[in-house]
Amino acid sequence: MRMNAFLGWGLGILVLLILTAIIGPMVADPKMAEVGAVIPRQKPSAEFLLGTDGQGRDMIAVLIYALPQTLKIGLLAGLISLGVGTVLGLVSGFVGGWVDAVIRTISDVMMTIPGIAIMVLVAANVRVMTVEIMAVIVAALSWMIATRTIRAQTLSVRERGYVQIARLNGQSGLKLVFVEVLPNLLTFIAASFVMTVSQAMLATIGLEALGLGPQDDLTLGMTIYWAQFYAAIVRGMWWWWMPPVFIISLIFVGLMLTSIGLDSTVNKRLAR
Amino acid sequence: MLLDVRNLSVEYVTPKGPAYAVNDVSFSLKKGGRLGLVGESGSGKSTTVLALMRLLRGGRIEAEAIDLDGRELTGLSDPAYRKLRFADMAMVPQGAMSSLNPVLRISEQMGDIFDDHGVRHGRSERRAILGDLLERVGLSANVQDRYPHELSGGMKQRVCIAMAIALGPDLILADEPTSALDVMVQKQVLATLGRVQRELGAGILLIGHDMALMAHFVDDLGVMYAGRLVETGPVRRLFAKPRHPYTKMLIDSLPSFERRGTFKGIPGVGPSLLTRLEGCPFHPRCPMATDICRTKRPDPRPVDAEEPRHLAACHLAEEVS
Amino acid sequence: MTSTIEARNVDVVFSSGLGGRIRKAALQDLSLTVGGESPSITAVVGESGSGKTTLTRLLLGFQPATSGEVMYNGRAMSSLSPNEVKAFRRDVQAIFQDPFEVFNPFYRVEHPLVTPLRTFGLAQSKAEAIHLIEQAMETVGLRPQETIGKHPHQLSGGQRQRIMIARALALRPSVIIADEPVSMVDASLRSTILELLWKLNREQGIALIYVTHDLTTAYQVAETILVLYGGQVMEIGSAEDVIHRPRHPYTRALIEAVPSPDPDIPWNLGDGSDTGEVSNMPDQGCAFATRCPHVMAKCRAQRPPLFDTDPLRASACWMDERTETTTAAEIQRRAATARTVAAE
Repeated sequence: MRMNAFLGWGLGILVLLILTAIIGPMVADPKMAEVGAVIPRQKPSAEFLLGTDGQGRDMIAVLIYALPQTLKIGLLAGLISLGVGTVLGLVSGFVGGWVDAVIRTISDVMMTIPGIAIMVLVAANVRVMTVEIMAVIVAALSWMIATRTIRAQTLSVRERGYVQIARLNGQSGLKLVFVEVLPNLLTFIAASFVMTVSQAMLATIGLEALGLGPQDDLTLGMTIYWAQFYAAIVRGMWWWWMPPVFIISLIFVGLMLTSIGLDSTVNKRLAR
Repeated sequence: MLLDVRNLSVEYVTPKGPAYAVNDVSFSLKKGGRLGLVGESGSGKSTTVLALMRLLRGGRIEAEAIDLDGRELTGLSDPAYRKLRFADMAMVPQGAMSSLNPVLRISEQMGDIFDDHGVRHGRSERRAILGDLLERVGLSANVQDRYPHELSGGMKQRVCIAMAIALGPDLILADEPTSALDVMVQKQVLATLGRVQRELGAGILLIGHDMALMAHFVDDLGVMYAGRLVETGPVRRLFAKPRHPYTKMLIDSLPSFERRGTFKGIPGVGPSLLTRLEGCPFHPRCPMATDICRTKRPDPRPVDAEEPRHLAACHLAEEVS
Repeated sequence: MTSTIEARNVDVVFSSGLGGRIRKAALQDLSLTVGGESPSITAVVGESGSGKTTLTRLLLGFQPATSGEVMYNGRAMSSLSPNEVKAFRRDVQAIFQDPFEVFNPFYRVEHPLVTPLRTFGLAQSKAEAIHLIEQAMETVGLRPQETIGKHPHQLSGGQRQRIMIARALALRPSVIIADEPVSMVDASLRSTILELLWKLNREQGIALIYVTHDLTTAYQVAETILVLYGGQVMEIGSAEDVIHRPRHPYTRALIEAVPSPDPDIPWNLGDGSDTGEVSNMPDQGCAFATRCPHVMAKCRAQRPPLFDTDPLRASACWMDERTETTTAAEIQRRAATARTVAAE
């Protein structure tokens, strides 16, 4: 399989971001990201490449320590909802009958609930918001996407000739699902993972921008929130709000390219 | 001549190198005539039709000449080609079932053809024209108010025929128009296609894989193998005296109600399109192949003293019996 | 005489809608035998919607009967023990229409052959399985060294269909259900594949059900032809009777729709004005009544049983009304007896 350009660029951007998130904190001084570490409101200079924010933090350090937290929320939420979604989707699609009816009804009902409203409600009532709680909330509200996708694919794979042949071969139950069905869903699972991660990050950043994020943690969304809280735009402090917006955009471009790339490889496989 | 194609070739670029889908294919069709092209999957028959319609995705088309009713099509611009489609030559596609847009009523899809070619009608006039077209293909006029999913496979195929004849083209290209249909429906749809073609006085190029069906529908038949036209001529001559071993073996392999328990298949598989085989493309499967067949490619040549239009691309044509 | 599989007065009804109020009969009162002492080839001929797919699934045990019973070696399928089910799974094999999608794109082509040989205990080791696969591949005219280890997309449709036949063969079944095995295979290879199936029957004694829409190939391979329409058996009989002396109007219409491979034998194509297509099967009476040129009032009211018209044939048409009625299974038995007598 030839890697297409979308997938290449998308994965390239994501790998770069992840490497930064891993290596960055090893190099940067965590003290510089603490409130009052440096003189606040400094323009970018040779000493502070991206200036300092209104609370006296080095923006470079802020970004370096915020990035891994933001990625962590996305990945964690993505993994949880994908795990739940894959299991439920496979069971729903393969077992069928009343099990399918129950799972489908619950996920359909969940789909109709406006996620952001629930999140606002929960976030406003949790005493201490942390990155982990954030991820779980987002996952609880997005597992249906993966469930639906995997269920639909399982339904179509289930009727394929090779599944019938596997039945004739005396295979049944879990073994049949794992040996014959699951491997063919890997690309779909990867694609819906990317989808879920972007949805989770979007929801997280939305909540954070509203001020409902983890107040004590440093994330990209919270950085934007603080920038906005202290009216950075009005005060002309572009170096405070623009870099986090840029990095978030970069994350989304990376995810989107990966998703488009995966989509077209999946479709190519289907067309064959 | 209505259609005269000289040395048409189509080449695809694939990751594994160029694929030669159609090689130096030449044929002609007279006004109101019926020409059939048969071949197996990968023989290049559908590619030939798509190349003529300029609807190929990604393939590179080369031709010495494509003459449609005195007009040379090879140098024509894409917008000019767009006007040509439906008006001068129209296609009944292979997957007619899936070529209809599921969210549009039949009337809208048929109407688009007129709109695209700048033909304006009043509301009731348009209805009457569409109704008349549908009745000509054996459907009732109010089928135009329906959506594709409300129609059976045969009905959809008839709608596609109605669309093809909407602007009264001189040439109809039909790519396996009946192969997805049930036996009895297949016969009715083919009969309909034949009738409207006759009424219109249009020529028809029918692509298919069913030799027996072709035998009863077309005047002339071309047999394609590995992107080449290996034999052409009047269909009855071809069946009575096939001059290419492949044609002969194909005819012999046809099941009939005369024989039971005898099987005459053609051993081996078709060649890969990725390699240009030395010599005759059929030689690896040919029981008659000699040294010359393995080294020199045979060109189509007249092989029938009584019928000059009967051509075969075989060194040993005279020995085929 | 015991058969490997026998369907006795089977109805298969699919219900849909609220509380299953919309009921559609996919098969009605079908009796059929497969295999036994005189294994033969029976062709089931039908168009789309005839119930032939349901019949295939029924005989493979994928589709339960709504009423009636399917027997395996004289025992009701619904009462088989897990071990007997496993024996049935090996003993009754299938070849499907699409040689592309029966291969899991994730695995190499020998995957669907190795698995059952191990599952059914026909091979104790992978090496032994490969050895058996090589033998089976040679029987169907494949070169094992050029086939084993390939990915499905590297092989042609004809090669893949042969692998599926080799698969069925390697399991040493008594019965093979071949569901449109050649309709997606190139014309030049059809004969070869059909010949293979024919040889499996003649040389290995495997009973075959050949499910097809194509009367000519049915005539080519089968001793008995069963014509199915709208879930009902229209006509069943010896291939000679059904093709050369058809009784049922549907069989006759089907035969007329087939062009002869000889362009000099006229084929009345007509002008296509007879659209004669119905999407809805009638709820009662004869399924063909809505398209039949000879339809009578009685046909719409009451479904004709299979009338015992000839020694080796029965027709479900009121024009063939006789006092005696019979079943498709009975005609098959008579045909088997006739073959045994002829052989002696």
